Amino acid sequence: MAPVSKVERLEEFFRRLRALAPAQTFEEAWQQIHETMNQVEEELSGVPYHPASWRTDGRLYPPQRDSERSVPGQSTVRRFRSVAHNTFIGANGSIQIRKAAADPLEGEVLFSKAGADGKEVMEL
Amino acid sequence: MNQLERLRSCVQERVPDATLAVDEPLDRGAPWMLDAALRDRTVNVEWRRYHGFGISLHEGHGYGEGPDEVVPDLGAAVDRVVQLLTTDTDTVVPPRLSLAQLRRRAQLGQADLAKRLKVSQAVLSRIEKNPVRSRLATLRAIVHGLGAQLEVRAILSDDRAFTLELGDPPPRRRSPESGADDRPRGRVGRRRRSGGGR
Repeated sequence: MAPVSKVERLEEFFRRLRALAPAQTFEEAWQQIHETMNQVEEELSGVPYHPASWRTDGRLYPPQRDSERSVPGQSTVRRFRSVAHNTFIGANGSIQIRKAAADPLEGEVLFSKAGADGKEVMEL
Repeated sequence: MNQLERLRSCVQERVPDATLAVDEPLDRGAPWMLDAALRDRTVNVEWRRYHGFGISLHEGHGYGEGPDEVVPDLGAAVDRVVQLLTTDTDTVVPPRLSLAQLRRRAQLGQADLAKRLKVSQAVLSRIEKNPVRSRLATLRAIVHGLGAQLEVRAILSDDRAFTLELGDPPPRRRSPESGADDRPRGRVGRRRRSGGGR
């Protein structure tokens, strides 16, 4: 099989995540992100799942629990930081992935999906 | 003040025009992040105690990717961040290739390489699909057959990497036609059976 670039794997991750039914809760959205990314990487990266090697193994990993940061003024939204991105997950299951920026809420939006109630992260 | 906050101070001192923001985790033992920006360049530093500094350029960095480089100590991290901010230098991301990708890069088909290694294409295909089950000598022979040398790296818990000393491969035999050696160095695809097995 031809090698699949990181850009193509990311596009596939976003495509599959968007195709899922909207999540109803934070935990459901968290699970969707993890399962979808791990599924894509398992199928397309050729790199075994080994989170302890995330810095050097070349596989894409979903955000980890210990990467959580505060979101001032937003009690129903949680933020998880990765190298150059922030993942916001709402209590209603909404998901938003933004490029990191000095103000995390101002970073360019790469992916956004409403929760089961139809509201986006920034509408909470 | 932790190591990342020290790094921020040192970089700010050397590049006063840079904008530096520490993104502190809720759990203070978790990875900290520093975003350092100067004009159109933004450098991210990820740090956790005992794990060194992961350094990346924001531009082109994919969601979920690890850092571009890992630097073990504060001084080296400060120098690198300053260099990345103030020059056009790019981070060096070590390319990762599968055996098949390496073979294609050498512009060799699977059948060609199998012939060169004197094994069947099916054996080579099996090794390419699951190289982790191969003996080191086998991998060395394949890599050598592609005109390259095999290195094995050990990565410590603090992300420092070392190339393992494995000893020299057997001496080269020169082929009469090309003047270069094109024979594999190990026995590819034939595993000696012993009582224990894998």
